[in-house]
Amino acid sequence: MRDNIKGGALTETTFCVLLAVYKPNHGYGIMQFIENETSGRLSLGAGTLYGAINTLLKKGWIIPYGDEKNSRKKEYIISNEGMKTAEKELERLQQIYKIAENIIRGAKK
Amino acid sequence: MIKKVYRYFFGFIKAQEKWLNKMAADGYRLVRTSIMSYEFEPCLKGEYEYCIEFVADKSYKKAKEYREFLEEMEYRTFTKNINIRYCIGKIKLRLWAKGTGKIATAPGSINKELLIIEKKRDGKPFELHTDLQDLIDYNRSIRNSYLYVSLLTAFILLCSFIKIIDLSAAGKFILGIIGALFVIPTIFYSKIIYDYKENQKTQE
Repeated sequence: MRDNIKGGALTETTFCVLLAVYKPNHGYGIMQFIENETSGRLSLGAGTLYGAINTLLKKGWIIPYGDEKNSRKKEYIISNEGMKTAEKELERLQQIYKIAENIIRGAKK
Repeated sequence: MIKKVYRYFFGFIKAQEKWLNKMAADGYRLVRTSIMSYEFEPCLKGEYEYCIEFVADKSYKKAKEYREFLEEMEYRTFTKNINIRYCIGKIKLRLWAKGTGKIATAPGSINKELLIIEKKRDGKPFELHTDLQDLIDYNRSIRNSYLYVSLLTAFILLCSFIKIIDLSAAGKFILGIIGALFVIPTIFYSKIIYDYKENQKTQE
């Protein structure tokens, strides 16, 4: 979201793709990982996933994995830069979670 | 037994998609496309479904990579033309396209402006773009292609009215009709983009 640009918030799509490539994974595997881990709540379209992968490759947050010429499916893995970004996002989400829990749970009491 | 059907949908992507899905619901699976025709083989009714993607804004290399990615995702793909153009050795400027896609060639990306994508019906919606920003970017590409032609025809008409170029009354009329035809989808896709942007103010 634009008003989070200074806070460095990642989109849900970006963060989920980063998580999906902590171990080497290909496009179809990334899509299945995200769908399974979110119990079907987040189902990425192939076009959206293609755009997200290319964006993350350009940013250097993910890198190609393995021998592209011999493998049928291109695989990707998160880079060190990508891991730092994902860790920052986790801290941000934990902070938001604590704030929200205090206010929402507090309001119910 | 192959069923060959002659159809031309111009730039009406959704109409073409709807027709292909109707054919699939009737038990016909697409096997080949050409400029003015589609070839089908029999299959179980409703076994397959189709989605059409506008890829004219991509360069030949990027469109090919995207097609390969879709096939890795276990979809089947076919290229399809928007315009009727039998040509070899042609070069065309697409100023609304991205990067080297601005130059289209034949052979190359001319007559391959659309990708028809097939998947086995699995009960899940067949949507290639599911993220708001991605939907905005995708629909903007389509809108810009229509906007480019609308602006070009408006510019040529203006030049003819202020006597920079000489056009007959019939020529002006035809150009006006063409411009009007391209303004309608321009407005249609602009509304879609606007709605997504409004949604984006509060959601991802």
